Amino acid sequence: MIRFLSYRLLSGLIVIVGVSILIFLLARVIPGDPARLALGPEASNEQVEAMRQQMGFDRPLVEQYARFITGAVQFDFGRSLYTDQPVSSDIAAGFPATLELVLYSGLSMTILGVGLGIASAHYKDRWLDNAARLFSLLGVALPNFVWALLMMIVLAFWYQWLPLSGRLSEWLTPPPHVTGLYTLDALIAGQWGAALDALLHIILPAFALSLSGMAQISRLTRTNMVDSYDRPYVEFARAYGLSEASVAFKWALRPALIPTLMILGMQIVALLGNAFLVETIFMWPGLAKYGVNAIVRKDLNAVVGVVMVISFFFVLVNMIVDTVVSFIDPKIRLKSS
Amino acid sequence: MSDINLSRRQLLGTTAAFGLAAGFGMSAVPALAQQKRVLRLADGNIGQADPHKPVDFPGSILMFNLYDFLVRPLPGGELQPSLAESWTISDDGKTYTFKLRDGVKFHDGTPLTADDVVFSANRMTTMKRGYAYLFSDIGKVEATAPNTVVFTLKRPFAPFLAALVRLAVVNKALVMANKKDGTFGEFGDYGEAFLGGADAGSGPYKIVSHNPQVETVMEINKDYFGGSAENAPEMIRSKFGVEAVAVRQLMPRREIDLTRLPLPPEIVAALSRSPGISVGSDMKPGIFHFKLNTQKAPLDDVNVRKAIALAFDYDQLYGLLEVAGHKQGLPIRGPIPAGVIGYDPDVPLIKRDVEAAKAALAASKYAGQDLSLDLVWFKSVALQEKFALLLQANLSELGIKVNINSAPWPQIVEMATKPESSPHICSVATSLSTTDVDSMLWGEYHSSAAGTYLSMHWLHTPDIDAMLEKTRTVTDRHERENIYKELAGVIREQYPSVYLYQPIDLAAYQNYLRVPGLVDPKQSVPIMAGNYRYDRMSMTT
Repeated sequence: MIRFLSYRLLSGLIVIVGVSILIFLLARVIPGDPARLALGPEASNEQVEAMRQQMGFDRPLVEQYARFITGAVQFDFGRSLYTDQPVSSDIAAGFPATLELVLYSGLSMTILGVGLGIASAHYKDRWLDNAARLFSLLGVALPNFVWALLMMIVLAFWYQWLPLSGRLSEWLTPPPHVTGLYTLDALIAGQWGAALDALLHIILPAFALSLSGMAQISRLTRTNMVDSYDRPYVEFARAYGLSEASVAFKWALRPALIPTLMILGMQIVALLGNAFLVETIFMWPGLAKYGVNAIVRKDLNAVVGVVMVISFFFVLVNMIVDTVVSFIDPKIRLKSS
Repeated sequence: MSDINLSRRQLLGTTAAFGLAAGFGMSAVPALAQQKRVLRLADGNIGQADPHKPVDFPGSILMFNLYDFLVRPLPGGELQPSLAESWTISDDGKTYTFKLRDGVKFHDGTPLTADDVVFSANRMTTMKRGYAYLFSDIGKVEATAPNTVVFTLKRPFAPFLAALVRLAVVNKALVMANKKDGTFGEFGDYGEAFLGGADAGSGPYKIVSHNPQVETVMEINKDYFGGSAENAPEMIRSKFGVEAVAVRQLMPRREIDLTRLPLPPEIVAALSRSPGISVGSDMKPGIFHFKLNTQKAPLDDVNVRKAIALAFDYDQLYGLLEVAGHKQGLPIRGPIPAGVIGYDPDVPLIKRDVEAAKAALAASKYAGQDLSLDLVWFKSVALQEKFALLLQANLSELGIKVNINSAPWPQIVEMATKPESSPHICSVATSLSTTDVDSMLWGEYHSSAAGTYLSMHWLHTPDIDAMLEKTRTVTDRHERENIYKELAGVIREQYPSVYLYQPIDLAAYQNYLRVPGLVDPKQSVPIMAGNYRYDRMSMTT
């Protein structure tokens, strides 16, 4: 197991170093002088040059990379040209909001997606299965921002059951910072009203963000489980007189879950990138929106910082998924070892 | 089966709980509106709090509300004494002496003195950020008495007084008490980290909290020496990064009171129909152009440029600018917008004249040739594509082919650095940074400022340079006005642009809010963010 984890750690490290070089170079070949973009057209050439020196853009690329990587390991990505704050502060401010959104979204995607898949497989070709198929088709066919707008109009605008935007109602003070996740921090502080308010605020964006992934997970679980139901060992379990629940969860679901888990890891990380439009629509002050704005404005330090954080998260989630899968399927662990 | 029944019950229970909870959430909304006069602004961008750094709209809104200046612009563009009670200008136009108003205090109660003005000017010119280029001619600034500041310029610079509307005066003692290590010697980081999230001003509002990506919360400064309108907002929540689609949902629910972001026509129309919401006009002191690259064949021939300007259908353009009875632009008469020095209302508006356009083309050295032009428009502004298609259709009547491409902003900035990389035609907006037209025309037409999107026409001649330089040395307003009128004529004859219109930003506001600059053109302050001074607004709860 230690060898397995060491192997995963090493490959994760290689990915992160590779990404750092790639994004560092890519950010610098995008057309447009970042100093000129930040200062505006009227700024004198002297101003532009001073800023280029201040940001280190006048140095050779290798030196710039060395400075960047030295800072990056200390979570220092320099200053943002756009917000004029240290990029690490911007990330620290936006990441918990996105993480909270992704966590709730991932939770909704996993529970509802897998649940729907199981139900769909269990009631194959009956009305529940057909309804789930239709739902999955809509979930995949419509982009998450369309879902976000539809749900916003119906649930928040017409019926006013849920808040329209933001993380917390403006008459409430954010709970004391512990994790940065408002729902959790409010519970820790014993602010039940704020916790409920934060939960109500996150329902719509998290659900809208999760729909596409939920649909895929549901379809995948259904297909694999239907496949499992046809296997001889399931037939054997039924013949043995085991209950339907035991057959479903113990015999059919476990092998069907491995591909789902692999996809789940990818889907959860993809939520980070896909969160941009949902964050924009719901005025959710998260990292995805910050990252896209940084790209549009060629805010080099911010672009690199955000990509590095997302890459780290990507590697981390994949490591967790690989480890979980290796527990479910010992063959994978043995192969790696 | 019993499991299924249980989960159904749980589902119903959960739904009911959320329903109740949602009801709880809703009931608190009207309660807030009755507490205080809170103005919630939806801004499409983000705001920087340091007054010596931003050159954009949200930064300017914060600057004008949190800080004060030696002079401030009045509606119509005249300058009003603010921190300066009076001033004198030496005969050679190089020395400006200001006497400061007595009794002005910063938000922390510290008296504002001439030392703070000197510190602020030095901070701006040393850090070289934001509007620092407006002050590059300052040779020396000194406090000759606690209430007297003297600026000595390296050379005469007539727009200097107008430039001072961009010199926010910061609290030296507070900034220095919060300085960190930095590259500015004894000044450390010049308070860069501190002013990024706090205010050290004396303006009509003060910061409660600031997060550049989320919102700035400000409260009214009741001790402000200039006073404020009756029922001025007591608290401001400037929400950043708001999209038009969110505004469409939030305004009818009274969760946004005022907007400051581009609103697509369909959203303007929808908001106009919503009860209790009005749409106002924020006149921009600028111009929207098709810049014509005068150094790229066939546009190196003035007759081809003239043909393009005469072929364009301005009436159709004005039709495109009409949204739900509101205009997004006014006809323009040349390189100087209405309301600023040098604007000449007697110059006739250019009209579409296809025959005259054909004649101009026939008189060019490219007559009879198949001409093909590249046009680039800024990808984020959908309306620009309509303008481009209109020009394409108009020029096809002259036998000129137009290839339309869109580009993201960084790419346009890169294209603008050289004549050969600049496209034949590029859609560009230009505007004044101060109340003086020099702050726009110099960047566009002086050869020393070439290489930015402002000068994508690449028209740089010794005559134009000389006239622009002269306007900086002449302090007599009448004489300057005449030079600008003459300069505008010289530029017009060269057809470096198809001058499309003077832009108007449409802003939605709740009817319980009064925003003078958006309603009455006479109350409009012709500078970016000039109409977003909250102390001039009033609201009923």
